[in-house]
Formats: sequence, structure tokens, C-alpha cells
Amino acid sequence: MLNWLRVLSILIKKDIKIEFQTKETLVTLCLFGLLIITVFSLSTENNSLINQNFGAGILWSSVIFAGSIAMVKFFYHEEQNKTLQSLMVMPVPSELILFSKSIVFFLFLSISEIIIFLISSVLFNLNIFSLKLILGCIVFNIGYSVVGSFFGVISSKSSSKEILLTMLLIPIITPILMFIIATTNDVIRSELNSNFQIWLGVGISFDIIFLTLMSYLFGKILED
Amino acid sequence: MKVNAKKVLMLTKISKSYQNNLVINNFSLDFNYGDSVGIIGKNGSGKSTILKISCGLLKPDSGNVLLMGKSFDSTEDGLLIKSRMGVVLHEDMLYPQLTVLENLNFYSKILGIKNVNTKIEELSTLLNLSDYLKISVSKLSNGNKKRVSFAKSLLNDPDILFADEPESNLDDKGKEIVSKIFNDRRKRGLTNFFSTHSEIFLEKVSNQLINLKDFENA
Repeated sequence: MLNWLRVLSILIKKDIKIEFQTKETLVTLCLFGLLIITVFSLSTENNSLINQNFGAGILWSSVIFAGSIAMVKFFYHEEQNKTLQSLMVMPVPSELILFSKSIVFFLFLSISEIIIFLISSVLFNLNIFSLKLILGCIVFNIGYSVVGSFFGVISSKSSSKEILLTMLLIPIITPILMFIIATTNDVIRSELNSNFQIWLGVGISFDIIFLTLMSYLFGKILED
Repeated sequence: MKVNAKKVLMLTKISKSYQNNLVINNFSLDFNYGDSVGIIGKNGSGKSTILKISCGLLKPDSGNVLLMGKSFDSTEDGLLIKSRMGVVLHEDMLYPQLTVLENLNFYSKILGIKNVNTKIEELSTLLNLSDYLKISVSKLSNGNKKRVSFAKSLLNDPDILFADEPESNLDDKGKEIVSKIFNDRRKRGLTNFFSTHSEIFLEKVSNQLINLKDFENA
């Protein structure tokens, strides 16, 4: 177990070091996300009623699409340089490769969400310190990062990787997407939604199921 | 550390096809510790595929692979085998964004190498890489990338070294160094399994030759 944690931390540190040098993933996530939010705010002329009704959807659309583009970049280099193959001939359990990628992407996603939310807080009257929102984001980010990392590896081998990843990713993450949009809507409208706990249960169950399933399947995908 | 087994590698009735194109059909092979085995054959004859199957990178459609008496099918055994082997393929399999030193440090840590600095210094001297340690891999020539790839695969002083055309991309000096590495390893009872097109290289470093032409009609 200690050895697994040691290897996991080495893999994570390596990905963070590469990101610090290239800044590709984080910059893509933030820029693309903010761009969608800006276009939206220009088109609605800051109408508070529209913002309240559609704010959560727009906010999470920006995160999802920015995330899928960043994810393609995140895995493209691994495929191009065959570094995943290199890890496969090292004494590294395949699950750790998935976990490390998911953790690093979780970190990048969370950082970019903080930046996007800070700027959006004015536009959507979003309380970014809401415990409900923070908890929701953590649950969503875990699920999105795990499923995204899994499909990121699969789609990185394809010539139309951007389309393939989005097509594979979005239908599968629909439950946590619904959960986080419902939670964000509650926060924007300052509603005390009694369904939050049910949605939270859905989100957590999604994370557990897909974390287990994806770690089991990841090794098989790599072998093929 | 040698895992207890007489044969270092045993491939039994291996078959592999890519999209209905049968590349390897019922191929069997075994050899002992300390052998230096060269595999030759024309392009597309399956040399790289055999190497990749042997080191666990590819799964055969049928047949059995035992490396150091253990199978890749078991996760625990697979990890043990991988900690005792080295692999050099056509691709450098290095992180171009990182420097040579950072790449070697990363793989050393993964392999749990003690005295990392000494080991890296020793290998960089052997492979004439000392001047390139702080240079990003993306800025290296293909020949130097190949040398780094060799250094990476030798970090754990592997019991078996798999190399796909080890002499390709290397200049004469580089080829000489690699030949010396292969021969030194053989003298120390370690195993080399490689593919090549170069008969000169084969003569220099191998004690056993496998010509895939002999298996075509088998």
C-alpha cells in the first residue's frame, strides 16, 4: 500500500511538473471556460432573470467543453510520445496510471473552476463560498475526472479525438451533470432544495461506481 | 535478483493478428539466462510484435508467455517481472517536456532505485550523455534520444533487456557503446533479446539467432 502511494505521488508530481512547464491544460481550461461565459454575458446584456434561469447551465457547459478540450491535450502528448507504453513496461499497476491522471485533472479542473466561478459570481449572483456548491463541485469533479481520464486514453488514439471524447463523455456523465446543475441552480436562486441530499447520493454513487468500474477496465484497455 | 526458473523466456504457440492480418502463427521460442538472442526477418515479419508480446506490451491472441517463469496474467507476478526487465523500442518513450535528468530521475523513482544519482552518473558516462543531462529531451537529436532511452532501460540493471533495433538512429560510436553494453551484460549472465536488420551487429553481440523466415511455413 505504501509503495502504491509512493508510485502514485511520483506520477502526480511528474504530471504537475510537465504542466508547470507547458501550462497547456490549465490555460485551455480557464481561457475556453471564460470565453463561453463572456459570450453569454454579452448576449444576455446581463439580464438578471435570464442569468438566474440559465446561469447554471451556461456555467457548467463552459466547464464541460473546456474540460473535454483540455483533456484531449492532456492525453495527446502521452499518446504521441508513447509514454503510456513506457509506464506499461514499468512496475506500475494500471489503476495507478488512471488514478494519477484523474487526480491531476481533478486539481486542474478545480483550479480553473475557482477562477471561472470568481468571475461568474458577479454575473450570476453566485455565492462561491456556499458549502453546497463546494461539496457539489468536489463530487462532480471526481466523477468527471475519472470518466474523462478513462475516455481520454481511448480517444487519444483516434484521429478525431476531440469529437470522440465529447461524444463518449457527455452521455455518461449526465447523472452528475444533472446533479451539479440542480445544485448550482439552488445556490444561484438561494433556494433551500430538499432534493439536495438525494442528488448528492446520486453524485457520490456515480463516483464510486465509475471509479471501481473504470479502474477495473483501464488495465484491459491499455493491454488492447 | 533472479526469479527461480531455468528458462528466462518461454513463448509457446503464440499467434497474433492485426485486423484479420495474421502476423505471427503458432510461434514458439525459449532461451536461457545469459543468452543474447537476436531476431531477424524482413519488414512486417513480426519481429517487433514478438518483442512486444515478450515484454508484456501486447497480448497474444493465443498462446502462452512465461518470463522468468512467471506470467503477465497475474498482476503481482507482472509487476515483479517488470521490475526486472528493461525495454528499448523504436519510440523513445520519454517525456520531451522534461530534461534528460528529470526523465531518468522519474523512472529511477518508479523503479525504486537506491543511489539514484550514482546510477544516473554511471549510465550517463557510459552512454556519453553527461553533457546533455540538463537539456530538454525535445531538443535532443534522435541518436541522443536513443541513448537516453537505453540509459532509462538500464537503470534497474535488468535481468532481461528487450530492444527493438537497438542500433538504429545511432552513429558508429553509439553502436559501439551499445554492442559493449550487450556483451558486458552477457558476460555477467544477463539476457538480451533484440531485433535487428544488421548482420554486423548480430555477429558482435548475439550467441543465438532466430530468423523469422524459418517460421514462415511452420
